[in-house]
Amino acid sequence: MGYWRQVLTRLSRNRLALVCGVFVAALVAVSALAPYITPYAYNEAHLGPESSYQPPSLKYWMGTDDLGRDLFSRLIYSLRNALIISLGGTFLSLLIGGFLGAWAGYAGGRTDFIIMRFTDVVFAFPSFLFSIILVSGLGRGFPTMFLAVGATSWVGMARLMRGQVISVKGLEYVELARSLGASGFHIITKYILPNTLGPLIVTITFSIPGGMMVESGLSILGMGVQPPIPSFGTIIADGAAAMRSYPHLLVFPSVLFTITLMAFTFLGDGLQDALSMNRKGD
Amino acid sequence: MGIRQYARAIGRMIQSFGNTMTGYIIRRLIGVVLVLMVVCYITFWLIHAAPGNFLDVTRLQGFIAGDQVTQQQIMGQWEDRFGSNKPVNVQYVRFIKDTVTFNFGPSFRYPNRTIETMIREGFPVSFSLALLSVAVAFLIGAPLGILAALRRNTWMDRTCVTLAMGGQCIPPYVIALGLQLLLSVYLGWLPTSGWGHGRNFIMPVLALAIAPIAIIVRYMRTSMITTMNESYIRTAWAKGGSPMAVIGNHALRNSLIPLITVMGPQVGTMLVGTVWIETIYRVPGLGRYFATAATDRDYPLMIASLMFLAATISIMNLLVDISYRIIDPRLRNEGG
Repeated sequence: MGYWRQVLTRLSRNRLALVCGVFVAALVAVSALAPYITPYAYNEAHLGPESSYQPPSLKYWMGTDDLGRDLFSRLIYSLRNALIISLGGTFLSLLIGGFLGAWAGYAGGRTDFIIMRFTDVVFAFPSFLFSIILVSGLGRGFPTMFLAVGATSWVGMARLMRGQVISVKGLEYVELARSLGASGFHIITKYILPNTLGPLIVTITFSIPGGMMVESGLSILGMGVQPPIPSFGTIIADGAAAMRSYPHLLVFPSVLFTITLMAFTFLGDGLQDALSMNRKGD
Repeated sequence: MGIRQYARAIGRMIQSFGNTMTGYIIRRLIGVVLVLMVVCYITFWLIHAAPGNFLDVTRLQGFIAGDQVTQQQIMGQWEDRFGSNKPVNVQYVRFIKDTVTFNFGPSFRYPNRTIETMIREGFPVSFSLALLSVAVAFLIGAPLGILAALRRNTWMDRTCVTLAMGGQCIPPYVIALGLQLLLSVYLGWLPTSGWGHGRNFIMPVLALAIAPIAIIVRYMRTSMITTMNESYIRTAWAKGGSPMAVIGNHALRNSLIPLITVMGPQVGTMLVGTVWIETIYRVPGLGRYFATAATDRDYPLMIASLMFLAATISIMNLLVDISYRIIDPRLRNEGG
């Protein structure tokens, strides 16, 4: 895999992307190990005047909220939920978009035309509004969240897949395989998919913060996962309600959430450069 | 005539326009209408499937706004027109009729106001917020992008690009709350929320503008760099043009044109952003009506505002695509 080693070397030269990559790995590890790391359970309430609305301390690293729940523990679980939801949504959009895009690109002709005109129209549609409707009809569970996130991002996947398939389709070894009688499925999985891996990794890296924004954007309106399951959006909204007296309840979640989004985006950008997909300018 | 024949007839009609601009516009318009109709249908289907209704939700919230008896009456009217006892298809056709005649009747939460007047009053608010924020974003973003391009690979360039990349990652609701904390709670310069005064515009527009500023900076920079490398710019330098003349007359104009394609869709994105911004700042716009209607299960208002916002944004994006084709003739001959 000389190509991938090259990509890694190029990535490691980009200091910002490297730092973000390490940070993203840490975020993933922390959220995977959340039950072992967090000092308290996410819904563990400590009632009483000495426990609620506490400022940051050694006992509660980021303070506590109105019910005396540890903010740090709740944020770690929010991160975990945000990751699960955005990964689930990305997977879903990969299934829908990948399938439609690959089909359009591989079939070409009228099928391609119809599918791509369809994606044009869906692309112009404000999908976040549709996500809100989905949640209001299907309830606030995790599967609905996957759908809400997936519904907003499959079009990009479809376009990417189609472009990749078309660019690979004309290559000689693919024509050779076809002339030897390989099936469409075989060609797509064996020749086309491995070639699209790089751009796909970049798209997935970018779609994770996108999914997190949708998830928290829903929960800040009161349409995310059902409380007490923590989500950045709900915690930020609760913090906003208390911002006059207890600003730390707004600042900690907002900053952590923003840093998380930035880390993923900068990593995606670095990966894009390393895979030299960035043809605009430098 | 069955659906199949209809589809075929429409297909023939679409094909008869060929690859012309009219054909393109008609195809896209048909697509927009179809997608809106499908989304509307799904919405009705979801309403059927969803447990609970407006009264359950308001009771749960422990919040009873207005006159419950009238609200129940309105819900009764809605049940008569779109009720769960009727099949989805019947409701759907009825709603399409209401849409075409722009006559939606009252909402559950605001039984004394019709949805038409709410849209008529709320939409200009949201739309002006969206337009203003994109305009502000252009006024701030374009000069920064040009500066970054002209001072390429200096600290100024790198700061602009990194800041822009960061700014793109911060969701509008986080910016909105951060501005509230900083400008109202700490500094006390602006009221935290409300509407009706010129000062109430500042924070919503700023909160919305950060993301498009970032996008415009990055796009303007690349566009400017590309233009500066064109041969006609080299010719202009060779003719002995002053920097002002070369940059102002040639480079600037040619790199501003592609910016339209970035700014147009941003208006739609900002319109979606008003859903959060208007909720946070308590602005009586259509975005907030939609958000509260969806959480309250105020179905009449929810569907009507969704359809109105979605139609506006879809058509605006279509206009952007059309104008792009007019500006860039190369696209015209590419299929579709």
